[in-house]
Formats: sequence, C-alpha cells, structure tokens
Amino acid sequence: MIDKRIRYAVMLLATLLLPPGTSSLAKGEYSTEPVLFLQQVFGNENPQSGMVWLTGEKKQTAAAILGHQPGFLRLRYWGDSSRSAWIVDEIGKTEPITIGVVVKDNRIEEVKVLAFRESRGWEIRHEFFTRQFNGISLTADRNLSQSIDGISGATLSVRAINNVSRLVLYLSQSLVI
Amino acid sequence: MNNPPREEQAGKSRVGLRRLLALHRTLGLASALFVMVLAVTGLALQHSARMNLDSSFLRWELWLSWYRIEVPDITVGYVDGNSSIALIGNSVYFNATPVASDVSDLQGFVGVGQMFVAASADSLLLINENAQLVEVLSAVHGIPDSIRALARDPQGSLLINTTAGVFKADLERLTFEPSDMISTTVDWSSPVQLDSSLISRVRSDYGDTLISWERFMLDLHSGRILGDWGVILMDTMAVFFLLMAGSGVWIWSRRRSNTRTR
Repeated sequence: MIDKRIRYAVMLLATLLLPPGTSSLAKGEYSTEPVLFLQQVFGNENPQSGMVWLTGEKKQTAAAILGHQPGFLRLRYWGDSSRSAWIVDEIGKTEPITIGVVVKDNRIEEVKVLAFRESRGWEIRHEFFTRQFNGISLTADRNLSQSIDGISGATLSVRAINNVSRLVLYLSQSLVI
Repeated sequence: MNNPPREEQAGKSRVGLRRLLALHRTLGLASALFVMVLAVTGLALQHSARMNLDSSFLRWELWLSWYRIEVPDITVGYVDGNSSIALIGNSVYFNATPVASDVSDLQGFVGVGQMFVAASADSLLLINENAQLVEVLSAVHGIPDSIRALARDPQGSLLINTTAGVFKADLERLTFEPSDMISTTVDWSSPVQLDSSLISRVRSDYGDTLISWERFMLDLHSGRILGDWGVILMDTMAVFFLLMAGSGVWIWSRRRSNTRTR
C-alpha cells in the first residue's frame, strides 16, 4: 500500500516537473508537409490553384477577423468554389503557426495544424481539438457557427486557429460570388 | 509563592514578542518595494497579451547595452536598381523596411514586373513596391528546391537557378519550366555590400525589436534584470517573505493567547 502511494507520488511529481510545452517537434518542423496535406485532401487529383487578393473591403474584413493587418496581400487556394483547401500562416504568440483548412460547400471539412513553432499551446495540433471545427460555417457577423472549447494555457494558439478558420470561410464565400 | 517567576516569564515573553515585532517591521519595510515590483510586474505579465507587451519593444540603446546585446551584422544584401534587400538575424528588410521574419537565408533578389522577388533556398518572397509582402511561395506551390540564385531573362521573366538546373517561372500561374538557358551565360543576382546609411537604418530598426516589454517585465519580476545578483536578491526577498509570514502568524497567535489569558 505504501509502495503504491510512493509510486503515485513519484509519478505525480514527474508529471509536474515535465515542461508543459514538451513536444516531439523540432522548431519550425512540419508535422504534416503542406504538399502531403494537399495530397491527403485531393488524393491523386491535381487540383487547380487560384488566389484571392486582399484589397479594399476584403483587406479590411480580413484585418477585422484576424485582429491585425494580414501579413500578406494575396492568398492561394487549391480546388474550386465547392471544395477548396487553404494554407495560412498566422502568429500565435510570437511565431507563425501553419494551418491547413479544407472548406466544402461553405462548411469546414477539416482543419489541420501543419507546423507549430511556439513553445506553448501545441495541444491545438491534436485531433481532439481540431475536429471541433468540422461542419462549422460562418455566421452573418463573421463568427463561427459553433463555439470552440478552448485549451487552458493555449489561448493565443486557439485564437489563431479560430481566426484563420473564420478568414478562410469568409474568403471561400467570395469564390462563390 | 509562584508569582514572581511567572511574572518574570511573562516579562521575558513580552520582550521576545517586541523583538519579533521589530524584526517583522524591519522585514516588512525592507521588502515593501519588492512586493510592489512583484505585484505590478506579475499583473502585467498575467495580462501581457492583452497589453501587447510581447509585441511592444524597448527602443533605447541603453537597454541593449544593459542587456549586453549586440545588434548583429547584416548577413547578406542584394540590390536591383534602386531597391535593396537585406537579411539580418531571421528578418528580411526591403529598402530598410521589415517585410518578413523566420527566413534563414537569402539566395537572390530581382525585380520582375511590378514586383520584387527574393529567394531563400526553399521559398520565394514576393514584395511589392510599397514594401508589402504579397506572398510567400514554397514547395507546396511547386517551386523548385535548393535555390541558388535568381535572375531576369531578356523578356523580363524570372529565372531560378537550382541544383537541379535553371527554371523559368511564371509566378501568377505558378508554373516552373526547365529553361534551356545555360546558367553560366545568365547574369545572376549576387550579394553586394549595402550602403552604410542603409545598413545603419536596418540595424537600428532590428535592434529596436530585440527586447520586448514582456521580457523586460519577466526579468524585472525574476530579478534577472540585475544578472545573477538580481536572482540572489529576489531569492533573499522570497526568504524575507517567508519569515514575515511566519513571524506574522506567530505574533498573531501570541497576542491572541495573551488576550485570552487576561
């Protein structure tokens, strides 16, 4: 009984002493290569690539969604207006997070974190978090149609992935028009 | 019969209590400033993102020298016409304006049409004349790997020299076709020594981004702003806080028992 207690205490101590941001990823390393991400989305098809310029109203709306001026003037996508894949870099706290988003009929089909470079908040890479976005659309006031459960200690990363999802949904709507 | 020793004991106890009170007061006064610093910096750090402390910087040279941080030299620079590009640290500056971060190397720089293209070994940075980053192209966009240099062909198209050969690029349609041009006959962009006033502006701007307010607050909070001595000072203060907490509880309990005895 005492041995068991000691074992639990040691396990608890070891858990507490482990750095919270421990990750198998090296800095800047892709967990999923963007090329592989597109292959997973489109299979053997060779999707058309298009681009959306962020100018005028689009630029203002993008800035409102991201909470800052976008760091780019145009964004590429693959596919068409009915199903498209987007790859966007967005700063979490200080480093860019590379996020892949697939939109089908104005709803998110999949969100994937392709590269995470921050020291904290890496939990957003996991499927238990990203699958919350599946099926979500954009409301009239450009918010996500469902609330996303955050992760303690990963507020900024969660905010980044939420904002990128909103931006991609907004831009994919412009393809329809 | 027992009264005198009891009074003597009570007197000794009062003296002890008074001494403890004096110690408690001294510790309190000595640590008051530190408590305030810890509280203010702690609050600031707790709300650092909301207060933009991580994206605001200390822009005084004095702080760089205090931290003993030396602004690095420009790693490499290129010029095309009146425009230039420079890599310092991991930041890219176009005409002394920061346009991109997280870039490890620069292999070339040319103006193509209305835009300028800078290359790292595995990506192309498209920059407009207003020093705005238009787009970053990488392997996912089909650009050839292991870029060594950039150039413009006589028709004004972008040429990319890679370890696998020379490619002619159309950045709008994202096509990268092998070119029959022989790399030795092309005038590839090559690194140059940038103008000293430009270097100075770039280094000065980059130096202004090295110490964030968040780091400053964190170092103030931990005492590291004063180096190793600061850490020892903060450790001492932490011991003072513990002694104060202990002496405070002790004084309170003694006074409480004295009141009850009376």
